[in-house]
Amino acid sequence: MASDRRCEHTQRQLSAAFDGEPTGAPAREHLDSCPRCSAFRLELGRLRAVLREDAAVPSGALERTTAAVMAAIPDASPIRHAPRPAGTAKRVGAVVIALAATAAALTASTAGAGADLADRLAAAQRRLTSFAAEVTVVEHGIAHTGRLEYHAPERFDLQLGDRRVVIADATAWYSGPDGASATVGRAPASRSWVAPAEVVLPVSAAVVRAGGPRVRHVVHDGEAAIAVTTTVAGAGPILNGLRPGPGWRPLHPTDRVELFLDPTWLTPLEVDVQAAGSVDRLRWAKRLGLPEHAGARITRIVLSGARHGTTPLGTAGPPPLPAPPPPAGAAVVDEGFRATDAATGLTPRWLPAGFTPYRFGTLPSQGGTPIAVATYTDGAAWISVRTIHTWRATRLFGIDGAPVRPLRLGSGVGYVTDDGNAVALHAPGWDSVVTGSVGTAELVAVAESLAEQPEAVPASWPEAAASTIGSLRQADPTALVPRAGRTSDAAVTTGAAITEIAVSRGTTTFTLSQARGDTTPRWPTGNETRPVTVRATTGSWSPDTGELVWTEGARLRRLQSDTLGLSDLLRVAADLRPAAS
Amino acid sequence: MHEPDPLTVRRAADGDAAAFESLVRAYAAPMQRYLHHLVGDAHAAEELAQEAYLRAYRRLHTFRHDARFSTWLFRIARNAAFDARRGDQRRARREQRAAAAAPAFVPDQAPLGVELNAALAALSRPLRDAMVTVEVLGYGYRDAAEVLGVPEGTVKSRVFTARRQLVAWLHADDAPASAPNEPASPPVHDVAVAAHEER
Repeated sequence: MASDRRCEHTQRQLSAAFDGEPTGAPAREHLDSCPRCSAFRLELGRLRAVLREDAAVPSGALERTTAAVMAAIPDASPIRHAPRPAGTAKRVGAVVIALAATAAALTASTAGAGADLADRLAAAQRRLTSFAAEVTVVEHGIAHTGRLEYHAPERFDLQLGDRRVVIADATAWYSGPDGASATVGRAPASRSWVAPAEVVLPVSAAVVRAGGPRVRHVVHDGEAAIAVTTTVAGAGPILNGLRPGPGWRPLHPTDRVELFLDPTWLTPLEVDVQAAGSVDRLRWAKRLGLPEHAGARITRIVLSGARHGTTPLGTAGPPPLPAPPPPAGAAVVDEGFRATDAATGLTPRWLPAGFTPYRFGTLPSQGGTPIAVATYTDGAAWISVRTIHTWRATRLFGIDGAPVRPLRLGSGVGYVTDDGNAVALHAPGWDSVVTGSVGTAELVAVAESLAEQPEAVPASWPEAAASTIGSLRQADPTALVPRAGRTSDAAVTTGAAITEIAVSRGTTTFTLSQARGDTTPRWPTGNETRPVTVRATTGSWSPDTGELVWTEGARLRRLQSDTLGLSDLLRVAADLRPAAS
Repeated sequence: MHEPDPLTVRRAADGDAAAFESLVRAYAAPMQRYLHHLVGDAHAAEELAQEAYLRAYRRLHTFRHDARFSTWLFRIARNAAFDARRGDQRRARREQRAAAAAPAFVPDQAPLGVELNAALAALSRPLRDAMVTVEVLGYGYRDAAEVLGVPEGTVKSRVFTARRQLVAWLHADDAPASAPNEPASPPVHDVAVAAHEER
């Protein structure tokens, strides 16, 4: 005990002396004989060196800060200013004046950008008919340069070094140093390749909801821009679209993405990826032999010299883009789409303004009648209705088992997927799914206008247990639910043994499963499972599987996400509240 | 920490934008580092820096020109960070608890900076503020006390306590291994710190 007091006294003296305070000299004999105090003295210098040198300043941060502050000063409303000398305005300089004007214009044109950017991007998809830009992708210090051309709604040609991706109507192909592959018989708006509109106008990366990406006005490379901060998981379509084929460096789903958008067109100017700093991310990088430190910029994509087109395209569809055939020797897959002159399935009685029929056809189905495909476009955005008359599976058609929430459609029932990108319908004799690059509300309106009334799915189908957060107040009052504001679009399943809530909004994508009457700890089975404190109890976390498991109120609770790290999931867990509250 | 030409500060206070810009540029780097260490996020720090400068611009007329400009500015910055964190104190405590578990799982070859940032995040707010103000800005206790709005002795005590905790965490690997299922210890509570502060 006496030794502890001696150590504390000595270390207090060392600390104060290290900061230049007058203090009595620590007893030399104690310092020489005490390893703890000796180590403390050594660490003082190491801590200071690291703290003063380590805080990485993001690339361009100082310039951005200065420019943003100076641009905002005219609106900063100082309480008292002496009259400005006549010559002062000139000394401020044209740059500041221009930035201020730009910022003011930007503020006016994008008021509430954080809240409505996704809607504005969706609207921009309705007016941008073509886009071309030079593209540079920098990774591992190597720059890959090339050119991107896009014609709405889904023609795409990206040449980047010795890689090339071409999408043109029913054909899509890739060629690169690793080989070539091609798809023929490609259905309109097929998701099997890059979604061109998502590269040019990255709607999903900019979906702003609670916990989603941050949006702000900035000055980027001396020009006004809109900056969206999200993660690799949230920016997947644009990152995959601009880094075609294999061979690119791996990115962790939680790595930070800075997406800079043109403030007028909302097309991308630059995409920066920075290494996240979580322990799990460090372990992941170590396993892969990646040497970067937290905050390091690991991928940079710049689009320059952009040209935008808004030429109305009418009903005839976009003008043909010269589409070279797939390279000889490419491995070819036939998706099976065959064009027809008219729709063979259900058609909507309502479409958003400007939408007209685009392409009709059929796709094969396993053992049943063909799937009827009807697509519509306004020359930029698209909507697809797929219908099958002999659906034999016992789950909803066209959504691959995605979680859904039920929705009243007229006098019938429809089901919206948790990401809001599809509306699935069922009725005796037909099943249908409505998808598109427009907003969920418009997809729902299109679904509601189909010629037939949909019904609830049979009780034996998994979607029969689909519910809403609000219904849990009676159905499962001890279930925990995400806080208000995140829940309106959640897909809820209330089964006999488990309640499952799926939330998918931008980067905030997770599933919360809660067993009924099951308190047996079943820890995750990942390789690096470890205990963590969650909601004031000890739970378990597996970075391999993205699972956070704990027992609370005699129920086993499990949060799983492929896109959120531990700290994010702990925040989600901490915000949960009982359904009955 | 260097101090600007008093004439520049006066001109900025009189509405000279060019003078204010020179002040912004002069402190941009230490401001970014200071806020980064206070809030643990480089991008949040960037936004807070903008907020701090705008607050400073609005309040320049209140600056007493016989005082040190840098401590006045960094006190505004610290308050901006404090306001941002106060918005959801419960969340901050949860983050502290979450971060408290982190140092024990830092890979063996993780850079010291990463390890230290995790340990810094686990410090209580008063300890972290004091430690960052002294170490990152290089202030003595008197100036740091002015920035933090606490007595000089409190700064001294908090910096010492912060250093002891950081050194203990950094040396955690040298200690006997704890039981694999043992939950991480919570961070030292502010109350416990306050009891040992010298006034």
